[in-house]
Amino acid sequence: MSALRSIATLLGLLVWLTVLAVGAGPIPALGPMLSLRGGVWDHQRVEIPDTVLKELQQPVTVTFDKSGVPHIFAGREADLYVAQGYLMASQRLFQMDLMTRITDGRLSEWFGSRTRKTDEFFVRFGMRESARRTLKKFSENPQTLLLLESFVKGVNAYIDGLQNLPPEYKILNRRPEPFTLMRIMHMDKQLTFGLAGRSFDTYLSRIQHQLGTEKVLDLFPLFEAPDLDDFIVSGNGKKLLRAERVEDFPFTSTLKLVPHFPLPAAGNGSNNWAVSAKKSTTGSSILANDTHLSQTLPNVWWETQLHTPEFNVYGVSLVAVPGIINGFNSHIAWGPTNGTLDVLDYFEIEFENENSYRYKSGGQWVNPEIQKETLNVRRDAGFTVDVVWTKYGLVMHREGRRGLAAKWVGHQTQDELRAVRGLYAAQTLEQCLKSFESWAVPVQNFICADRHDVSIQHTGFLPKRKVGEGRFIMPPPNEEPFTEGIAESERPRIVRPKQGFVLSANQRVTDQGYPYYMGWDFENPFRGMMIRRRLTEKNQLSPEDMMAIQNDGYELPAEKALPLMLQALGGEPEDPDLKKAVQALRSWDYFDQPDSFAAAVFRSWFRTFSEAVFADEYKVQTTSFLPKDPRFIQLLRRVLKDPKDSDHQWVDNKETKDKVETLSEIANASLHMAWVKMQDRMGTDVSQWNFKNWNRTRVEHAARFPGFGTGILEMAGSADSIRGNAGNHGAVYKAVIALGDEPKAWMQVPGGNAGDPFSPDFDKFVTDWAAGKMREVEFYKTREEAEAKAVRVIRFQPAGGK
Amino acid sequence: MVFAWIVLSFLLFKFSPWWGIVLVGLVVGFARPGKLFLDLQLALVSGAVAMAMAFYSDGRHLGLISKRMSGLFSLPVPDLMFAMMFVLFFTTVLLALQSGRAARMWFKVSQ
Repeated sequence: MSALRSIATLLGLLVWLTVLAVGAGPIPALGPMLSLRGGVWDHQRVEIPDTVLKELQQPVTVTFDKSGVPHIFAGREADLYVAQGYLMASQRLFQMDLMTRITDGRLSEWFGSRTRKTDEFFVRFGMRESARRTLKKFSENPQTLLLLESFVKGVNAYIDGLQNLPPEYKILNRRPEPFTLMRIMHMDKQLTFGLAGRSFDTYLSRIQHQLGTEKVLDLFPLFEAPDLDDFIVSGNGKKLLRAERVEDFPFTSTLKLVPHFPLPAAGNGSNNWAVSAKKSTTGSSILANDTHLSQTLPNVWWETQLHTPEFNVYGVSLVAVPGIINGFNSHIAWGPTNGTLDVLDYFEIEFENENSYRYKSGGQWVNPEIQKETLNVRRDAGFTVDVVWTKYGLVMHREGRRGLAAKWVGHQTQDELRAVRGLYAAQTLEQCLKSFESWAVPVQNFICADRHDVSIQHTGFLPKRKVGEGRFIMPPPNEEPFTEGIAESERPRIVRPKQGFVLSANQRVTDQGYPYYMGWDFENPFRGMMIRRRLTEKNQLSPEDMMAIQNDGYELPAEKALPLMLQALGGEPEDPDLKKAVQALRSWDYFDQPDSFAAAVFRSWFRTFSEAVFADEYKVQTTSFLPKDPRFIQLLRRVLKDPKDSDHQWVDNKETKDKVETLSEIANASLHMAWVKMQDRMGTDVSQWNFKNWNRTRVEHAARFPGFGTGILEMAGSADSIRGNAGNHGAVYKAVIALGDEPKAWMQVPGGNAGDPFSPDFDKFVTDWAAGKMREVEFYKTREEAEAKAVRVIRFQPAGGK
Repeated sequence: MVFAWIVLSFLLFKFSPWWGIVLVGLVVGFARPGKLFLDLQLALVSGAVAMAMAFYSDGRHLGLISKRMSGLFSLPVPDLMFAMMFVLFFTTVLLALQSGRAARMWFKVSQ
């Protein structure tokens, strides 16, 4: 061997080992990952034996039913949460670690520079300090603190005894850290941002620059046409709230370069409805609830029963959070939907000079509170972020002496866990409603049902606003924003409704019969309208009816819009492909079945048509910010009725200067474009074009690891049908709860509780869920009953216990 | 020699971290330098043992490890994960044995 060759060999080995040990660029550290000892191949399924936990004072028994759901029986509440923390960690440790890193700005410690912007946003948005304040608030209540600390002890007891890491840690070449109370706070912040972090003020301000206020109000109205709108609480024709006027918005922001800030996933919402005893075939109330969140494996929910001498409750816990969030006990059931209220406002503030954060407030220069937060980035240099708290919120952007401050209600926490804990032992509607008095964020539409009757309440801190407040970037007011809320007694609510049912689906909360301004931005009304239709079609409903409604894939937007869209075409297209599409649309029953060609064509064309009408009118930070679908349908109606209607101004394509397009021309062009989009998404083989391949329903891994999620599933319904199927986002928890002497409940949590990607249970129930099947849950009154029916029993003993 | 190397590879893969076989390969290459052909044989053996052990482990988990991991690496079929294991440890062991030989040469030169 020559000297040169031997040097090359040694260097080659060195480089090879370095790459294997730490990775390089996109190549991960393959050595530890694929090691046959300690790597992914060295995998062990978690089977918890009877265990001594020194954190316990009394024994805890856990029984597992045939669905893998743990039923936890404890003599003391603190011991219950120790066991819950231990069990949840045994199944979901990686997910708990991952999810609680998001608002803490710590994703980049794992994923490197590709998550740096997300981390920087959440830290600059004040989430670290917000979590600290939330913990302080929660700690004021000894019961809440006990709950949190016990849970953390349980999680850490599991981590301390961990022999074999979950595979995701091996893939990332990382180890779990001790779990802390702050981690739970960050899960709370993550959920709160996901549900209450939506605001389009900066977009509307940019459009206001381009089109003027009047046109913004026209395109994004406060209320839609009466038959294209739905309200959780209706004022029955009263008009206590005046309409918005251009004069309400004298200020126009001077900021020109406001960036796109991360937004929660579109459609984070839910459905809930309940029928009272008189409208139920069982003679007792029935509640239905399905929460629409990102579809991930593992699921964000963890199903369990918690039993102590003080309460017996069944439902789902939020991963990394103790207790049960949604569920039922022997007397009541409850379930939320997102309130979708705009509680994030932006203010244009003035700084003393270009290098200072001193800002003007009430004519005075004021020092903000500045925190320096450090962020670490894997395989890169860490950096420090100035987190600047002003009276008007956090400074998110600046242009010289002007800056943008974001004020968010999500930072003003109350003790939400106390509110939920109060439900465990509640027996009546009144006790249920009372429990929510300590709930601030995220604003939710909570339905409570006892055996006899039902109620719904828009729950949380509802800012008292002037008409139009929060639509655009605003000048700083004299008073600190969001200090005054709508009184508890004035919150929108319905208790014991005469019609025997209540419902919500993230639609507008109130109409003009409610005296307070609630903002313009809510989800499309179609799910709410369809639920209302289904609930009024029958005099009485059974649990099976409720499940059928949850699976309803009827496309109400198509019923409203498609006849107008076809009319706008003005005749059959000449192109044979498009002709075939139009023929399919004409004979379609408006159900989004997986094999429906027409459903795919409608979904593609509906969106493309709306884009063709509106997208040329303005430019904002993203490409997909359009007026709501009801506004588009209203435009079709008006222009088809009268081509000279003022709405025709939006039809013309502004990019063709020498031509004024007709609605028919836009309709035909958009149909052609929709066809091209279908080719892009589903390939050139038209026989494979159907709703399944268009909607691409799938469940992805929580960390988006390729190969760890599912393939495309056979699942009906779109985002606008009751089914709420947005592809990668949908009803990840479904429940129908029939109250009575012996409450019965059916649930579906796709993925179940398992969190091990190398276990066949990892995608448990996903196929059933996609097919709309529900699973009757086991709700036990006593430990003895649970043990008699258990598939497996674990006993946790305190140290020195028998 | 080859049989002994099979046993040694198995034990090292089973009980030591992934770099354990590198150290042993360096020592063997240094102490008992063979021809390139022998090094290739030993590297082939290590690659095959690693592949077989991965295959066995995968079987105990119903093929889910290779299924998930092949998705992670965008491999068209799960079986390619075993080929990947072979290549990984074949290359590692070959480089280690060759480096042991190279180190021996430097040792001789310095004496």
